[in-house]
Amino acid sequence: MNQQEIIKGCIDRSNKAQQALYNLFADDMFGVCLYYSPDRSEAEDTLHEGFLKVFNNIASFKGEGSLKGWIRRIMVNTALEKFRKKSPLYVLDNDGYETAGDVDRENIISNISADDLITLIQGLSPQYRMVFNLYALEGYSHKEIAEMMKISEGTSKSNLARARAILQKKVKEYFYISSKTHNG
Amino acid sequence: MADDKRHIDQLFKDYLSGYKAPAPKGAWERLQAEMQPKEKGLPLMYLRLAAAAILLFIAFSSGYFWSEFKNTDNSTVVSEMPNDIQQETTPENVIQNNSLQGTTTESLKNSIPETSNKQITKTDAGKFESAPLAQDAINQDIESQKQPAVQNEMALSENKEVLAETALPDENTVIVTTVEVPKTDELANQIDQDKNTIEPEKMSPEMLHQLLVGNDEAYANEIIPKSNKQLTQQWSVGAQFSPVYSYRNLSGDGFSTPDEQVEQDYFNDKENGLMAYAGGISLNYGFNDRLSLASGLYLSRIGQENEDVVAYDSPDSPYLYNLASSGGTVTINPQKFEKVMVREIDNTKDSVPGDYIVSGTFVQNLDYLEVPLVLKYKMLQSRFSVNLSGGLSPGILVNNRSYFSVDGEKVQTGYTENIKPVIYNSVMGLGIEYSISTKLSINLDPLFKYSLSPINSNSGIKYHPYSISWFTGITYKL
Repeated sequence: MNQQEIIKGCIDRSNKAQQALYNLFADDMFGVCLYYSPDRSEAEDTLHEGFLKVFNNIASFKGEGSLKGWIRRIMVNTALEKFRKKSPLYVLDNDGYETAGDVDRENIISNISADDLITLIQGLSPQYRMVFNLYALEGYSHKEIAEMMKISEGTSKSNLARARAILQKKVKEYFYISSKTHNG
Repeated sequence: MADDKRHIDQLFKDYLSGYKAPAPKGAWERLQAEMQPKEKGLPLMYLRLAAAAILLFIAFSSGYFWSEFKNTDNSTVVSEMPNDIQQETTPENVIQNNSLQGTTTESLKNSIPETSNKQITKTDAGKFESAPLAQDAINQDIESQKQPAVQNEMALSENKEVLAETALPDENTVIVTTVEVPKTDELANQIDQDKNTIEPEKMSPEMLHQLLVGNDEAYANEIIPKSNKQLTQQWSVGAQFSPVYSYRNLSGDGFSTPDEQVEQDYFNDKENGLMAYAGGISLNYGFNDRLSLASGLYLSRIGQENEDVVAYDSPDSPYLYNLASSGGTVTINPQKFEKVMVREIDNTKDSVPGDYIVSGTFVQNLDYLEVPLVLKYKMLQSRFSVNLSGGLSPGILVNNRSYFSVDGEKVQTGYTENIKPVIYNSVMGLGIEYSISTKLSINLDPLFKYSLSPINSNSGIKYHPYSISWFTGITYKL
């Protein structure tokens, strides 16, 4: 079953086609959901809700761009919706932060994994995590992020700076070759 | 600095670009399960509705036919007629088993009360009083006179014109009409000469009513004296449903949390009652016309909501939090309630998080299965009756739950501790009932319920729930 047949089958609500689509993209999308969520449990929820939207709206996919990109945007939007629902509940303090200095790739231990970095992202507050992901990983501008998250551009910039600072600090703290070794 | 930014962004982008993680096991099955009901939800709903409609239809049909059968057996005049009349009519195969026509012969005799008979025999232009006749009944009466089996055709046909003139504007209207019977002497003589003549007896109101409006006893309330009605000791069943507003009354000094003393004024300020629903099956036993005992089986929900629930560290575990309400305490793990248990950030430089603050409406529900024992007294007795009721309604706790209501979502938090398994309510109400027919009635019963004893234990605050409900329903007399 090729991609076109899968899409057509999904439009016709074919269970077989839906499962084929799911099998094709579930792992990729779960990866995306993981770094947009605070934990695995919420990532599972996002994946679930995201695929429901995919199946319910597959007819609106016009073939412009890749199917994978379309599904990924749905997953990101789903994560964004979940964030919006929660956002009033989070208390953020944007006052001041300290940078941890340069993150020098040469000094990062060699066995760092994507899973480790995801753990760091998940440790961010939801708003920092969302801004950082949208900016650094998805490539949105602050203006776009401000519109998507219903925040000001200034807040987006501030949140990004804060997220970066936290991540820099943690990367250095956990994954740098120890300062002794480095300095020595 | 700009390089720092690029470095950290690029680091994450490099590692996470194309990142895959095995989708959780069972995720597809859950997805599939959620998609299937949506596809089949509509037909399934219709099937359920159809099944419910069929059940209702069968139930009411059975009740109706059973009721009709019973009425026919007990109240048709044919069955009460002397054998000689039946023997005369039966061979003609015309009016056999026709209660209305059968009634006519007798009723025409009986429709002349003793006093009227005297007038008829003594005067040529006598008058008798008759209750109004529906046009159909008149026609049937007249038609019945044409049956060969009934020998008094001539006399009755001569009355046809007069009777036809007594058509009424509204067959439901009960009035008294005076009918002139110019040939009453002849009619009386004919009846007297008839072989089937039975001794004239005084026509009872029930018989008159049956003659006029058939067996629909729904109208009987308006014309038949109560003393002549059938014995009203009887069972009835029904279904009742009600919106319920519930809240509570507090007494006691309050209780202490690790941080503060919480008094009932705080809870009265922060907590509110809530609307829920109740419903069930009613079972009534009527002792007489006015007094009855109402019982049944009801599921009712009470509860409250709190806009600012008191939260504090559980003394039992460093990982748990207690949410305290006037009704009792709910223990939760705050880490599992990210939507509502927001960790305060006192200082972003401080990696040690602060306390939790609660955001969201905290709702507590208690569901009881109740078996009320309520005496009902009919203050006003007619088709519209007014009932005064009072009694007890003990219940067993069948569901105890609490949840946070956030953005339209319900985040379940567990059960309220130290709630007693049984509730003892007092009940009083004033309701109205409307009889659709002899067997069927609908009602509206506003009820006030108050718990006689506190439903919580081991607390400095005693919690007495009360509720106001508006039960509406349908009742069927067995």
